Amino acid sequence: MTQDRIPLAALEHGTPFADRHVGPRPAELARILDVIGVGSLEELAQHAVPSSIHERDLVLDLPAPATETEALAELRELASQNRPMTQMIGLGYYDTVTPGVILRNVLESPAWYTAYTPYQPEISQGRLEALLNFQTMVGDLTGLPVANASMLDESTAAAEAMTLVRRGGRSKSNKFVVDADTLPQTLAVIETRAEPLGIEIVVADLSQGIEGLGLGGDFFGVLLSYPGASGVVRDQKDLITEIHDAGAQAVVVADLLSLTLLRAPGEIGADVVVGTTQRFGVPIGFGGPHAGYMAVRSGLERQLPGRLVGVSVDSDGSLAYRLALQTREQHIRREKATSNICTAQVLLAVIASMYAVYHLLPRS
Amino acid sequence: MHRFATVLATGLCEAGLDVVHGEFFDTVQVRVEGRAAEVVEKARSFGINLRQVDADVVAIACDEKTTRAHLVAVWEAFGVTGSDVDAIDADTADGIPADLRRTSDYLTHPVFHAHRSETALLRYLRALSDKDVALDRSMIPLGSCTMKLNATAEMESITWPEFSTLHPFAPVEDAKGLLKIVSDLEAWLAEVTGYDAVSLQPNAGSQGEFAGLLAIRAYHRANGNADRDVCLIPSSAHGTNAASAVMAGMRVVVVKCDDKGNIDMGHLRETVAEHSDDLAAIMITYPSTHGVYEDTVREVCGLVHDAGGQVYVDGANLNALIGLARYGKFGSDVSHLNLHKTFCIPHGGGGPGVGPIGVRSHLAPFLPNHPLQPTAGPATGVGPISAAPWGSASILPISWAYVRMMGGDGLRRATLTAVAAANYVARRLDEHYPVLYTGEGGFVAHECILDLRPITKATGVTVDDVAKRLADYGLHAPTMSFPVAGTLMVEPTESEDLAEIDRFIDAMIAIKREIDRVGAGEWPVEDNPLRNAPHTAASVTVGEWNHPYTREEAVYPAGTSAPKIWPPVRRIDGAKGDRNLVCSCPPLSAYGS
Repeated sequence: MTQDRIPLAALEHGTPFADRHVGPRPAELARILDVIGVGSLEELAQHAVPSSIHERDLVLDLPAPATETEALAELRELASQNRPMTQMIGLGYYDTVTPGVILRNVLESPAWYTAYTPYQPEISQGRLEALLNFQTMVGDLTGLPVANASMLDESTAAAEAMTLVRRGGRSKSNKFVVDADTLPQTLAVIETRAEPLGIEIVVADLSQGIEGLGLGGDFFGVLLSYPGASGVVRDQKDLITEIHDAGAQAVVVADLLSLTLLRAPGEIGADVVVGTTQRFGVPIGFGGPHAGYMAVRSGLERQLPGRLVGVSVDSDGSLAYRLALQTREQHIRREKATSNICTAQVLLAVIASMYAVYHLLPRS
Repeated sequence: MHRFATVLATGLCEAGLDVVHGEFFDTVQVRVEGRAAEVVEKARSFGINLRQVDADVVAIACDEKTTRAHLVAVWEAFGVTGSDVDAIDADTADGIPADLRRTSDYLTHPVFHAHRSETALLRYLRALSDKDVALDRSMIPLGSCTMKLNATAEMESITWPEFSTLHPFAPVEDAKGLLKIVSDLEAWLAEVTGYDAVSLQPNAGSQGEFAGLLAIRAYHRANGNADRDVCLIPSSAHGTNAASAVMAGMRVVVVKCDDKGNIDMGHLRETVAEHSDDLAAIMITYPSTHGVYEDTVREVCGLVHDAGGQVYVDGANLNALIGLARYGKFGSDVSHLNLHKTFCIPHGGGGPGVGPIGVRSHLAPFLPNHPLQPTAGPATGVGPISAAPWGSASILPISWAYVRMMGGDGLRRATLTAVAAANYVARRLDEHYPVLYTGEGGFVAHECILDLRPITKATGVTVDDVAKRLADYGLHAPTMSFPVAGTLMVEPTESEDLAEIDRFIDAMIAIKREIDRVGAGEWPVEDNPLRNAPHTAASVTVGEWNHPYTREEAVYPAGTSAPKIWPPVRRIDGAKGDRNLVCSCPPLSAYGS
């Protein structure tokens, strides 16, 4: 038996994950350190990190590293503690079938999930096309001309719609009316967003119209749900007319899938339509991530938050896609931006768009 | 699903139950005086979660997976037996009144009809992704984005049905395993950042910023300092910081940077003194957006605290700090982390992200909470930031697995390797493209800014030209013009091996030689391989070639040995598209040229 034989204990776990996660092999790291002019990573730490903050002897109190096999076994055990049920709760989250071809080739495909935001459009045409399909799907179903390339979820999309109509409207009021038949989490997120901005939320039963509230014209916008949180489908045509007559704008939170059967909110005058595309093949996943959506009427496109894919041409005159109207966004506009949203839900929007590409969504 | 809902409602009506609404899409409400809890419990015993609206009302939502057997089981939960689903279906009209029915067309574009077989969709997906450069084809050295490995073992579990089918508003006992992942991850993130409490609810970095600033606002209000509303932000900050501050009801005051890119301490002192009565917070990024470990950070925190303000450290650059220093220990009160940067959640082409916040104990009562899940945050919290109680919960196993498999030493090694790789890039490229900012001792943190402004001034070649030319070399460009216009910011991360880093560096050096030929007048500024980049296959195969460089130089600048990644289009005219805005699929005839 030789002295340098590897102990059996080291063999039973295979290669430590850190050796897979970290790219440079030891010889490569030595070359890197040599070019930098330090003898070791420790020496680099001494030189690079200011001594005023450097915790030299820091030992993080974390579990000893597991191998890939061990970690997956632990995850299997944790998964077995969950209780998958038939979910008929609703409230904005619905079970759905992710077609296998989309599950494996989008959600589980590094070609899609490891890409970055398409800031280099010339080498991002594939996902830009998928996002344009998403925008087209949302625009068609809502009956509005311009939709963006996804929002973080339905509730934040509704809150963004509130600030959008405040920016984009002429009303000087600080009141925003929310129909009482709205998802409770959406109402709560709107309240979180409204408070620091000095917006007063008025929650009211709008099934009998808006006149009975006694607000006069003192509101800049109204949010309706279609269908309502209770499931009811109401004709909102006259209500939207009333809202416009009062000089305010109408936001409709709509179940996008229901719009294959129901008259589109854009056809009865909605200014902004928001919601989620979760049930277009994106697993519920305990609440997320899913792609929210937002569509606006003509005239509000420059007020849209978030990424918007548009069509342009390349230097040979060929059709090409890229992010449009970037001057709205906070990396340029800073505190005057339309929103603080950067990362959205592109991967989930791609799944939802492919679900629509793959399925016949019947009108009746 | 509308038909299932209709049959469900009809069956309940026929049995004498009180269905609340006659007009619905997929959700039916049923009034059962005082028996709602009992019905919901009975349904749970059949493996079905219904929604208890209140003591008297139960709601049932049908979906794509609803079956006839589910309807029978739900009926039974209401005490209805013996109904025949198919017979009811045959006799039941839809629940949507005629004037609410959709009559207009939708999804008429050919793309929504051309890929209906699995083969067709498979090939469409492949054709699209083949146009893109993701981490499976090239390093993506985007500064401030941390495009590290998204390991298969981290990704594997997220589509397991035990995680993917959980409903966020079901009883928490259904999600015991996932909630253990949530609590583990909260504890681990608190440990690596030195904070006392963590909320995983914010589902993007921007939401984390907003949540963190709301916590600061609520803290000041709780202490009777509602008039503290000024947020100091250095001029080098990411624009999102300022946008978030405005959303949180704060006034933004900009602090200057000195010529080394660091916070101008003199200006900071003046500004803090000026706002000692109304200072709410400072938002800084550490290491800075310039990729530098500023050695004044502890002093900055102290100055702001002494004036009654709170310190928000943006955790976008945490990948340069884990195992070396901790925000919560050097003076910060709150940070958001980008799990999609430092903790391996993939970028997905622009989302999902996860932007949890960590806070010191005095801010813990002001973390986000949720009206439908009391366990998701403190009762004194600022309200929900996201729709779901734990935000993007189904992807948290990715970060959990990363920490679990790396351990403390592994994370520290990742940090230092990332810093080493960035310094290697900086040292090797400095003579070709000057590195704009370094810290004391000449080191950068985990990324470096290459200054192209002198080159642009001397030769006319721009950052755009270099970025697009990299595509001809089969590489993704670094971050352009952030945080300094006219520069490129490079972040190699710890996950790239030396061969790939060298491929990038060699390409950048080769591009510098091309720039020199433009500078020397050999190639005109308006007609050279940089300005004309990227080159498509079509652009080098059409008839006559009228450029002062060869077709080979155009498309195989690094030789023909590596597989060629062909850009599908040439340089895109962004302004033209903005003048004539088209944001939906164009007709097929538009693809003609």
